[in-house]
Amino acid sequence: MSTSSTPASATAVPNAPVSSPSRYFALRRTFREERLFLLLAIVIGVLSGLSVVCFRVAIEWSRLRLLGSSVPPTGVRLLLAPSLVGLLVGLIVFFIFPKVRGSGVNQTKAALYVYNGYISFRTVIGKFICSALAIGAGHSLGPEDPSLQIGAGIASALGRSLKLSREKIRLIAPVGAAAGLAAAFNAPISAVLFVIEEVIGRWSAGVLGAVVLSAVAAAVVERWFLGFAPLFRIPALQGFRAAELLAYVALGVVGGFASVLFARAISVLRPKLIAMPRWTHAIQPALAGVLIGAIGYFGFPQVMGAGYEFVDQAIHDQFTWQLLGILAGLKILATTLSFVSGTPGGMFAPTLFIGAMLGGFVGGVERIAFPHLAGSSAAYALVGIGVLFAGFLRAPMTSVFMVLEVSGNYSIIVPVIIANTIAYLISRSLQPVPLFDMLSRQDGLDLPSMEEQREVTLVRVEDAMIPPPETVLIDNMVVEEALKRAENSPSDVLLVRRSPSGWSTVRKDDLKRLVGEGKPEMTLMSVLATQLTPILHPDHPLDTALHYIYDCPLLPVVHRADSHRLEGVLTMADILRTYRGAVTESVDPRH
Amino acid sequence: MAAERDCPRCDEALPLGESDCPYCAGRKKIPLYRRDPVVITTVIVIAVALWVVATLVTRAYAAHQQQLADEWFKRGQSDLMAGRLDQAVRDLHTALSYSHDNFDYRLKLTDALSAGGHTREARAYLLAMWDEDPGNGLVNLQLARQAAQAGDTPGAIRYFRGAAFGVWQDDPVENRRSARIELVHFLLAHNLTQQAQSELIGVAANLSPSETTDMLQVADLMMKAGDPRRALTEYQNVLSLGRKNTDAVVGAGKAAFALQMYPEARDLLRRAKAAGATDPQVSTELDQAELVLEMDPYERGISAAERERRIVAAFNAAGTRLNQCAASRNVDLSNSSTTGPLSADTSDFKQIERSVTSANLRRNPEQGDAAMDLVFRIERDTTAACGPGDRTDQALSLIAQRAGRLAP
Repeated sequence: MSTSSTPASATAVPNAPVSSPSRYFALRRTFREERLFLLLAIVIGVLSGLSVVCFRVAIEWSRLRLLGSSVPPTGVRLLLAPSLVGLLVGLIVFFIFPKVRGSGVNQTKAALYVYNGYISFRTVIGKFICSALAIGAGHSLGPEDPSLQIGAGIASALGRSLKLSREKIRLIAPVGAAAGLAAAFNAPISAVLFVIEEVIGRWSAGVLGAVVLSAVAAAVVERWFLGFAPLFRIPALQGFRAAELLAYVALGVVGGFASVLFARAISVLRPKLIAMPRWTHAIQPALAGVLIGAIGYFGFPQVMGAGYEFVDQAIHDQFTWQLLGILAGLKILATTLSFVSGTPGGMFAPTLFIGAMLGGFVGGVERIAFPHLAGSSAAYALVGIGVLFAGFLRAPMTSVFMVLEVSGNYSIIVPVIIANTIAYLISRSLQPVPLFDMLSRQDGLDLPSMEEQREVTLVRVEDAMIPPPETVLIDNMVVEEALKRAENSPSDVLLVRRSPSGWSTVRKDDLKRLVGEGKPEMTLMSVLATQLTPILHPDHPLDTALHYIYDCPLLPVVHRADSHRLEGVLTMADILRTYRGAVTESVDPRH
Repeated sequence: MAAERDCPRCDEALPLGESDCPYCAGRKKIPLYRRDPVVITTVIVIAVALWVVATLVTRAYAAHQQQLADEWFKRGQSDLMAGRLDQAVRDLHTALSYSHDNFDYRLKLTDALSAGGHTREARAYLLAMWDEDPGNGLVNLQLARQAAQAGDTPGAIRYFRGAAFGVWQDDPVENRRSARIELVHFLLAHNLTQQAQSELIGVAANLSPSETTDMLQVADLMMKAGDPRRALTEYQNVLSLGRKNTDAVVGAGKAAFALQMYPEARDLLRRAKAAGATDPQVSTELDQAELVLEMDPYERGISAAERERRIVAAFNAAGTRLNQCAASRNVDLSNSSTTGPLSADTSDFKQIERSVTSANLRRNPEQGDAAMDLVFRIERDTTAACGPGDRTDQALSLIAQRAGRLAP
């Protein structure tokens, strides 16, 4: 007889069988880790916050020493600083810290999925030094992505010191990443969402609590040391008129195309530079520095460095629309040069800069062409930031929440959602692979992404189930009568409706055996006792059925409001048939 | 991907490309019960050390930033004073980048931007500051001046009121008053006299008796706003504190003149002249007041004979004025077909000319009123046709207003 005692609707996967001593140590270890993990998240947040505070001060110190205290910088330093420091950084990266090239987001994701959460502390130190020098010298990069990697590296080192299990070490890197990003950007919600969208690449309830705790702890530490002032001082934004949405639609379109241009430039140039002779990697940052320095020297020093002061000025309507347009274009060029040359530094701040300038530019043009449609400059700059984030970094959720978190104003949410969605759709249709995924593939890694996960269609029980059988037994029937009915059924396994609730299954052979043993008058209730079959509902993922199908060859699918109302049944053959169909229908977008 | 290898010591998977296990790192395995406290203590020590380092670093950095901010602010101020406006804007922007929320820097930056003609940029900063602190008097005042420059009258009035009722760090009473006075000037410049009068009443109510200069200023503005009665009260308040205040005497004399209180005006204006007032209006109005008092047949306390003499004199003066005006306008008053107010006045004049004598007026006092009505009408019509007459004609016009027979 085949029965199951698994509770109805339960979806837990049974643990693998383990021997008693191993089980003892595993339990002890799990208990210890669970106890430690949340506490550890706070410690990671504090340590990451402290490190990022030092990192930001180091960048500022480096900027003051290398470019001078004037904002924007002036003089021949504009030419010399990025090129000479580029050479120094190139040599350091080439000979001492080869793993610190690039932004840090991909490397953190690779650590999570490829290297079991391992990020060497050497990388953390290298990232700190090289990024601080490069950004301070005017390379068009930002401190957020390196902060993310620094946080992840600290978490990884801490996890290794505490000898956490491989599973926890894998999870701890994103915890540190969120802390680093939250401290760098002073926006914990955006940091959590970004890490989920871009680093973890999937929603994981197991790590969410720790990620949130560490991000909050890091943000608190950062504010303790660097003050509570937000990244940008946003003027109060008025509500918008419905007609203004047309203007934001235009911003979404322009932002979408700008994002594609930016991403294409990187995707085309980066492999070409990587493919050049290896010794050239040491001087590529210097050459990029020469070009960026020239842009600064010949009139546009605003594009150098992270550029937060100028985003603030754009938000406060301090630039003409022509200058905003030029700055957006030159920043795309400068950031592309810095990034593809392998200079350590992030894409976060340049994306904010380009978005703000582009938003201001579109707003300025619209103010001239359609004065009745245009809103405030601050609103355009903010929506522009979100648009680039959605279109270029392809983090749509983060893009919306980041704008809200930075502005502290919810009246702007509708324009942000509309413009971001348009930019995201344009970018997706013209550049199917998101930037960070593309960078990973250029590095020979195939990492999961949230966008990819969104593409996957969830197969449900209702897609596989077949109509209920005509013959359904009742538990107060005697075995003989049940056998008579079973003879008319083509299936070897029959469903038995239990009272007061639940279902069981019984095989035809078992009924025959009971009759042969002289027990035809026994009721099915006494034969089956309390053994119940797991039940499924039509909306359950089909994966759930896999947990039970081995023990129960026929699974009842019942209505959620009435467990005796049979909607269908499910067998292994049905499940396999459905999965085969799903595979042939879907095409992996990456291939 | 290459197959994962496990560490023979701790059974953890080795990261790709790593030959040494990062988890146990070749060290002797420490028992679990000893490991956690050691590691946690180490982490706490590292965190405390890092905290101390971060504190020292950020304090040093904050001090350096403040120093840079002060330096750039001073540079910006001197550039602004020297008229190097673009340089000043850049310096002040730099100062602000080191001290984001410094109110003085931001305000100075708006000054530099405004002076450099970057009104839109200055306004954006001011609006941001206003958003942060809508009650700030100085920000409201700057915004009001900008709105006034831009011709935004309702906006200017709103911000001036914000300044007049706003929060001021230094000397709030004086700053609020001066903002309100500036609002009054703005209102007067835009002929919004009713609103200006309301504001001035508010200002006057908050003045203390010792503030004579402000009282005089308010009284002068009341005069400009067409409220001589309240102005006279203010001047008298000043005079009650010191009778020798020449400005107050001048102002009170003018206010009394405007209120057609000619005896008081004459006395005050005489005092003012005696005190050395150089205002030409004082002499003119004194002359007018004296003439009115000499010519007004309705002046109280004069004899009947004097009244009759004044009526006859006024009638003759009006006739002369009518003829001179007609001649200057080439109007032939002898032609009966000529129409117009001057012809009608001539006709009426001729009709009663013979009857306006002292003897007739003594017999028939009502004749005096009819004669004066005609005098007032002639003065009105000739002024309309030929402009103001001589001092006698102007005095007659004032008498008409004083008697309530001619609209002022």
